[in-house]
Amino acid sequence: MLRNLLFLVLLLVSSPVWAEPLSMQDFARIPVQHEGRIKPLDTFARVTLQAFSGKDHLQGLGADDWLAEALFDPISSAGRPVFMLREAPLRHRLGLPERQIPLYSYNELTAGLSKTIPDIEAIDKKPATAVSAEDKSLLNIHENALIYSQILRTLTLILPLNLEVPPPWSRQIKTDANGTISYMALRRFERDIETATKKIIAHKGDDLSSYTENERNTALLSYRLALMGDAASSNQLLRIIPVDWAEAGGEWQSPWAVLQQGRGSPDTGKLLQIWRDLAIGWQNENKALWEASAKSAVIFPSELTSLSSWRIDLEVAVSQLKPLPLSTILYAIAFLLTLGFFITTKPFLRKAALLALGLGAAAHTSAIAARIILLQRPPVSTLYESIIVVALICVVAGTLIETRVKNGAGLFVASVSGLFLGLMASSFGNEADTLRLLSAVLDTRFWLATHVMCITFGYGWCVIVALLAHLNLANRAFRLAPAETVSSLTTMTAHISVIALLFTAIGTILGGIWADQSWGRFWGWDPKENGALLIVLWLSWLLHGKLSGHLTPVRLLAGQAFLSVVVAAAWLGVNLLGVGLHSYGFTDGLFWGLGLFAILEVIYIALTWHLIARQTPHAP
Amino acid sequence: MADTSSSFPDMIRRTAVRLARPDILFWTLPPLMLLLIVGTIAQKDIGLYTAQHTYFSSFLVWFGPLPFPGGYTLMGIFFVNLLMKFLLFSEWAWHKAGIILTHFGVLLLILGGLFTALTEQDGSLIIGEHETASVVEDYHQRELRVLQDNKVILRVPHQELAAGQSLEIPGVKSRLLIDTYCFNCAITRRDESRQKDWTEPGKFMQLNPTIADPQNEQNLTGIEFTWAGKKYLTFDKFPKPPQPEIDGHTYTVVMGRTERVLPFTIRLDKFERVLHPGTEMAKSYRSDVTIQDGATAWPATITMNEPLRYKGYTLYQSSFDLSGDKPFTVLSVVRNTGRAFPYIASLIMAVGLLLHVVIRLRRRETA
Repeated sequence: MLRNLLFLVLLLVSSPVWAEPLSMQDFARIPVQHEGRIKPLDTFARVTLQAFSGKDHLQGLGADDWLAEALFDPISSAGRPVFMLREAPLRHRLGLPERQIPLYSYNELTAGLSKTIPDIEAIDKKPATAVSAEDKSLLNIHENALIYSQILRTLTLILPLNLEVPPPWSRQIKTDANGTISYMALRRFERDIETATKKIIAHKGDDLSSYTENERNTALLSYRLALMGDAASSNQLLRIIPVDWAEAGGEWQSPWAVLQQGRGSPDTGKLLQIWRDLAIGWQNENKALWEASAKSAVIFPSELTSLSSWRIDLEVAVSQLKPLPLSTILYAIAFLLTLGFFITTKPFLRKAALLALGLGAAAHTSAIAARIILLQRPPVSTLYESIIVVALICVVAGTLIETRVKNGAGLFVASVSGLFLGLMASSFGNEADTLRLLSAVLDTRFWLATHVMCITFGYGWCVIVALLAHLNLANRAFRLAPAETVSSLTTMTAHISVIALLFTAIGTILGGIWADQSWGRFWGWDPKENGALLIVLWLSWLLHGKLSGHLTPVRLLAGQAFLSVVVAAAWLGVNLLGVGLHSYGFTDGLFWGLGLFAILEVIYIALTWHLIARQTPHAP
Repeated sequence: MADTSSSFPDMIRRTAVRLARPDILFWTLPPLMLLLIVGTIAQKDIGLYTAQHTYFSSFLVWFGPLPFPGGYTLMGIFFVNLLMKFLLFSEWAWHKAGIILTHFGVLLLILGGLFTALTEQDGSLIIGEHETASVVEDYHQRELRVLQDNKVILRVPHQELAAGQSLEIPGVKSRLLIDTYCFNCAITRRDESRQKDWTEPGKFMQLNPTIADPQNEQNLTGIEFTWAGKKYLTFDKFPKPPQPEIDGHTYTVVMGRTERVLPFTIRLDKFERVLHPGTEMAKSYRSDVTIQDGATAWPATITMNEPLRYKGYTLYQSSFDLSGDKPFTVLSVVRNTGRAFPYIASLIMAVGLLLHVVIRLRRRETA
């Protein structure tokens, strides 16, 4: 026993738990230009790792640590499993071994990727409609592997090289403090080394065995330098260097591009030296050098470009605190508390649910506010953004409704919409950076702030109407609430549906005016326009059906509940068509999700209707 | 008996009352929504232009063997119903002001839509840098043009062309006989045994009718024809249209988009595309142009979301071509005399809806 205990103590003492890992705090904040926007390296790392592995971290390794390894120790990184290949046919096509978690390294992929290059060429020739889901996965893994290879080669020009430099260059070359050399240092002599190699080949031919050791080293050096230069050509992925910033229209460059385009300057030299120190600091686990150079890598580009570093800090903070997933969790808690309140009618559960909703809404609002600040435009212009904003509208409106009705209906609306839309938004966030720039036609603040916000509020009110109708159908079918509650809910739902009509109608009209202002036509039968019109027509039909007496209260409720499907089709479904100006992009999973949703809604409405009809045979 | 003795105005009044029935609206909106859904989904396969003409700008649609009312029919019924309701049954009271205004706005919007559908013309204007242009090409409408010494002497819309038809060309004895007409032609190699009487390049190319492309702009409309004993072919945007020499004149036979001449000219001074830094994604497009109308000329700029409006025409930045030596801008040109309708109608509807909500809220508070 004592021996075991001693062994454990020894193990703890000798384990690396005591060795403090390098801090990624400043490394995460280093600015980089990616997809047209200056962002922190942390965002680049998370988004890229998410695209590769499906998560923004690996087991025991954060995104920033992963990126540091890829940049500073590319050989080890190429052997680390990062690519998640869930589709069995794709794994088979690439000749990969099966394993419990299908995560593979770059090195494991390379043979399969070279083998499937002819397939990629064949896919390129296919018309877009003939490209299958399997083809898309293959294209995707090829693209991801290319991106990874570019990341691995980003800094190869400044990393210490493990090769023998023959004389006379070994005497002329500048080594760093550790006695290592880099491609940058050798590049001055590249032409001389190439000329010397040509002479050797002219004199002795291709057979290496006939070379002297010095000649062999010269030829190998020339070959490796040429290989490195070729491999890194057109590597423009990680733009970490602001070159001639004012003249270049804000365009940054990758280290290799600076070198190959001959755009070096004292400033770029200084920045590359900072990155070299960073690499050495990381490789030698030199904490002082690492932290000092990471700080310089944050500050120096900001000085060159008058970049506001608080934006970078804000983005890093948002990535780390993850306020949106936090709000979804709080809405889930609020939903459970609401269910508890419905079952027990204990007032403290209602208050606790209100508190959870309030906290969730605060986190949610801060996430949206951060987006507005970072992207410097109104909050809605992509499908993802419309979902998170509609969710907030529903949560806030539902909470306000609750403060008036005090019967849990508002809690139900707020928590269900917040939870459901929050989960939906998180499934969108998997694919790439959600803080994306806009194409020219959508980049107009005035119309994004008017038409788009109006329609978004309209969607929000529609979701509230549909949820209240769902609740009231259940109330009537299962006799969950007293008659006066049912009646007041019915009246409230009718009032809110008029507000929903107001917002969707005005939003649709404003859309027409935008179209006329920008393209000279008010209405073009574009899918998104038709979708908005469909909601307006559906709401008008319900309203007039009620007034004319064609729709009994239960039919009206069923119609209001079905508004959820109409809104889902108009808001999300039109994106499946992939046509028109508004399309945000094709999403395969969306089709099945929407189909399932519509079926479940129809079943719910039919079931509750049937139960109500059984209780009061003449009511529907 | 009452029916037979009723006067003519009485009959009109009764018809009008029937036309104003709320049942009509209740049973018109569902098919309209169905049409909207089907017409929208169909766009994926048949394209926006064809879907619009098949479902929305039509009186009748065929769902397989079943006839279904088209957009014009349903909107017509909707309009008449709403108009009758508006005229005969509007409750002219303050608390109904919002509803009355909204309904009036809807009527005006539909009327404006009809006006636009009848009068709107759109097309594109392609201008190279430092070039001047004033001829707008229609997006969809094709026509056959015959030019005598570079002057147009005959225009025939493509709908009026057919194989076997012979056209009389003004001032020419010999008639032009159309051998093949295709709205969408596939080009194949002409068999050697069938090259007799053919002029180049038709000697080696053959036009074959094929099914129409859903994207209307993609259809290659063309004809093969015999004129003065020789065989020729021409098709949409053919760079070398045939130029037969007949009776000492040079004729050019062109198949192209219908052209309209603007009452002013536009010169492209500069085209500029700005990219998001470090990407191939466009941030903005911009055409600096000079407009010349008679003796006056002035500069203007057309950018995304900021079109140029002049003399009832709207010119907006639609596309560009930077593949050649010099940049080309593609401007879309729309002429819509009913342009003011949606603005007025929308304003009235928006005010009406807002008023209605406010009146309802106030009535609830006082109740």
